[in-house]
Amino acid sequence: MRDWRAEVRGRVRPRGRGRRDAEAVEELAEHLADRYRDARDRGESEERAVAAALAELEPLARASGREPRAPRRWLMFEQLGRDVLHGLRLMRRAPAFTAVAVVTLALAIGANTAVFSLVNAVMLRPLPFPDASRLVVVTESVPALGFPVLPFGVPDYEDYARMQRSFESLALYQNGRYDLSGGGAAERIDGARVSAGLFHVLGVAPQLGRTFTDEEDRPGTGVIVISHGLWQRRFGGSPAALGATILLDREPRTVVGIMPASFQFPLRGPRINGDPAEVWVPVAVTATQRAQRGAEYNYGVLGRLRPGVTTEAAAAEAAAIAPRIQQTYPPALLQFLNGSSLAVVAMPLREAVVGPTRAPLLLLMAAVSLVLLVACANVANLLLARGAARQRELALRAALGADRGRLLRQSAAESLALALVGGGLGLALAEGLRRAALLLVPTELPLVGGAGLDGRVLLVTLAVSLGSALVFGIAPGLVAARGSLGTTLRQDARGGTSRGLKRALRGFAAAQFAGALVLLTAAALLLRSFAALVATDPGFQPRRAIALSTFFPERAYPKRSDILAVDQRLLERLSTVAGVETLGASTDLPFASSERRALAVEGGVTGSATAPPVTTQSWVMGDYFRAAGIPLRAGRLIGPQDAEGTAPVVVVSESLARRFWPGQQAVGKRLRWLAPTAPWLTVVGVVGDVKDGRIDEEANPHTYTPLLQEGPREIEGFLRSIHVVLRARGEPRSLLAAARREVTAVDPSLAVANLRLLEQDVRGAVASQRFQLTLVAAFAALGLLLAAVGVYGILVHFVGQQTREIGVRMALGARAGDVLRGVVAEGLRLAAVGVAVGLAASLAVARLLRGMLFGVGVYDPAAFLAAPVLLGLVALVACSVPAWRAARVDPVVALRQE
Amino acid sequence: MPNTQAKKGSAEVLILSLLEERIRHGYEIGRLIEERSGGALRFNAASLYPTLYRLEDRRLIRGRWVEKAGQRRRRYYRITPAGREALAARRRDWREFLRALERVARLSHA
Repeated sequence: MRDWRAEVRGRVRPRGRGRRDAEAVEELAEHLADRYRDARDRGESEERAVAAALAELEPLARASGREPRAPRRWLMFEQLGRDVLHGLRLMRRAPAFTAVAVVTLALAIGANTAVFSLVNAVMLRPLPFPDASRLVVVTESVPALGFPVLPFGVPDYEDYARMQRSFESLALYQNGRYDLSGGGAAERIDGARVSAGLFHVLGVAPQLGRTFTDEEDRPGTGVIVISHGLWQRRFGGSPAALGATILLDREPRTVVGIMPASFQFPLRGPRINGDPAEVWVPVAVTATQRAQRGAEYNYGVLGRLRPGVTTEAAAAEAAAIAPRIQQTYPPALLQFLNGSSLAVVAMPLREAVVGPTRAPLLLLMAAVSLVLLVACANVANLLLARGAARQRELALRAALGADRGRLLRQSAAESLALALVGGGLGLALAEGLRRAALLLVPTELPLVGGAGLDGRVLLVTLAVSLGSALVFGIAPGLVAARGSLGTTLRQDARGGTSRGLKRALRGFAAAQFAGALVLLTAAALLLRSFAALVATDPGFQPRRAIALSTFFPERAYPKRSDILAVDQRLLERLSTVAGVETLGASTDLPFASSERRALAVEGGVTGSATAPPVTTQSWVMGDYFRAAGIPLRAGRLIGPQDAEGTAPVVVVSESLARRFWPGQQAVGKRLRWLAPTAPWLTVVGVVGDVKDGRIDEEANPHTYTPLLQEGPREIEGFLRSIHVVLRARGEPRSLLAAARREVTAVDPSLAVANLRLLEQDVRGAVASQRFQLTLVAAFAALGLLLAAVGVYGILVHFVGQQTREIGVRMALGARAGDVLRGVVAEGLRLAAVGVAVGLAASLAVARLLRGMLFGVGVYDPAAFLAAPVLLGLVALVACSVPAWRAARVDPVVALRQE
Repeated sequence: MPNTQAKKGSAEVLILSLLEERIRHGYEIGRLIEERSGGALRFNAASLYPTLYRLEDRRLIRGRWVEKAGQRRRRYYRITPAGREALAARRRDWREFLRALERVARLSHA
């Protein structure tokens, strides 16, 4: 008597099955025994009878994925090879499925890699200096006067440097813009005046030559260190550059050193002294600067901590030193402090550079991670839906002996194969995305040039790919492994979708909508904020205007009269350019005004006592207000009558007038700078407020005085650079070339910098917001697309599963419209669940956006309404195709399909 | 054709109909289907037992091990009251469906 049980087990090698499975084996064995006996009873041979009995098992044995008579010694290799190949074979067998899954993963992983490479470069990589964690930035600070960060004054710095014990070395630096000439056209470049010790503090040696000696750090030594980039550009990388002479603001300087290509200083990030330099010259502090306390606060200070000293200890020491510095202040300066106290603040260089970018970058990282989750849900659904089609096969394989661990391994191998192929493709995509992102990156984002695919990025991409496989592979894996005869064979024998599986599919589809909605809401909030920002009145009229900057070096224009003369000649020449309606000049332009002055008002301040009496100050010439389109509100503008020797006048902004003379006529009132010898200035006009700093911040009070009335000290000192604004009658672009020609005609050696349409300044002012919006909106679009494809996919699957049922219903009189509505309703139900969950999540997430929004609340109703509506519309479109397909089911065909 | 397509859709009705008469074990059910359809419909173990288990899962039939003297035990299935109702409903549906097919597709009785 044959042991049919052993036959069943032997063929399919059961393992780890429960009692009910044993029963099923027994029942199958009985079946086989009956079959065998019947065959024998019919008079068939022993051999044929056994074959007939075993044929009962045939489809099952085949499905178990194991050749019954595989030679033993090949088994191990076979299994290894099969597990690896299984995933790839499955992928090849379903090219459409594979393509959708791989592209979905590639997009999400690629976007994650690209954003992470930015985050890595900006936030995670150490600053490009040896032992950079010991580099600390020190600033002064008078928060009560509106200066949370006040660059150092020279005498204060020297006191501090003497008193502190925390730093082994300390250096002073100041950004500057210079005319570079000699051996080529004059160009305007960023540079920095630095202490001789700065390079030592940073711990960076030049690539060629040397840096400065302490002896050279005094006025009149013509030495210069240049950047690698400048060396390549001006000298073609020739070693002969060492010892060569270049003209910096027309003063000859000898190149003593060339820094390595990787060297960058100052680093971008800080608002003041945050422009990477191409040349470094000794700071060369003068005796006058040492003597005049409070005359200027312009310098960055960088120190290297002594080993073992923490930043906190340095900060505590700095706080203790501040009052001792303040004690040395003369009465006039104390009057400026107006009772508030001076502070000295120390913070890690990394924090000063990276701090402001943290929130926006984390927002991007969060958004792109959400895209990845949506993508994972999508792929999980693809696998589940396809798994459902293969469910019976899997169930039989698992139940009838296919090693369940092996099934799980195969399922995992398939997920891994998908994730790795998707990840690999994503990596290629990331490189493109990263380059595109770098084009969009606002210039103020520091360190971003180093964004690349380094080891850490590759590792994270691999981890993200494997993690995704885990996320999207779990559910299908469980389905594959959940193979006990007792439960699995009870699943729909027709290969239909079980209720649990349907729930999982629906859950993942709704989750995708939820994720997409969060992204959409964030994008809508940023969009609303951006629209508000762009709609903001900057206080001037950038359209039809162009601007250019130039600088009059001391070598060529030593005296006040020289500078004013060339200023006037320049305006005269430019006024002859065809198409110019009017023009003027100012020492600062909107969005970039840096000169801040403390002032006193005649009769004392009667307005707000808490706001500090500080104003942004510009010196203007010609018809600046009309050229820039700054409107006059009261009185008159500065005109030709305000010449040298006439009574000093000032034009003030509306907010300044409101603050100091609320409810009164400002015209006719008087104010003066808080300095011992400053004369009274009479207010002759009030103009509109202009955004002088960031576009998303309130305009500061602003004063404008005629450059012609300014004294020699200011003009010969820091008023040597000038910005000219020309207003065109028509198209301003046509003025650009002519304007450059006219400047060169005045003096061929003048460098024309930033020749541009004034509108570019407005674009620049919203660049970082545009960057954020563009990326978040792109991620939201991607998330929405994935969710739409996702719901489309599962509806197609459901409709496919229900074809017969739909056919019966239609044969029984259901109308196409009913079927259509039913499918659409199914899809929209999923979208609605997603919206409900997504809205709740968005409300929580929106708070993270606080601080990045302008002109809209974090719970902006329009954004919270628009996002679900858009999502609903897209869901409707995604549902309509499968619904239409369902409505066209032919009853006869439907019946035959089963 | 009938062996591959129609039989799947009709398997439940067939099984329920056979069990309506009396209790039977799996092999008997399979054999009867083959016999009564004149060999047109045939189920082997691979397709029969999943259907049985599914019907049992939905409580339309119930299986029980029965031991008879001198024989190995067998699992016999009986139809439940719910199964009778389902069968009645299924017959109604099929009748209507077939009538609909006749009208629409101009099929005559096979």
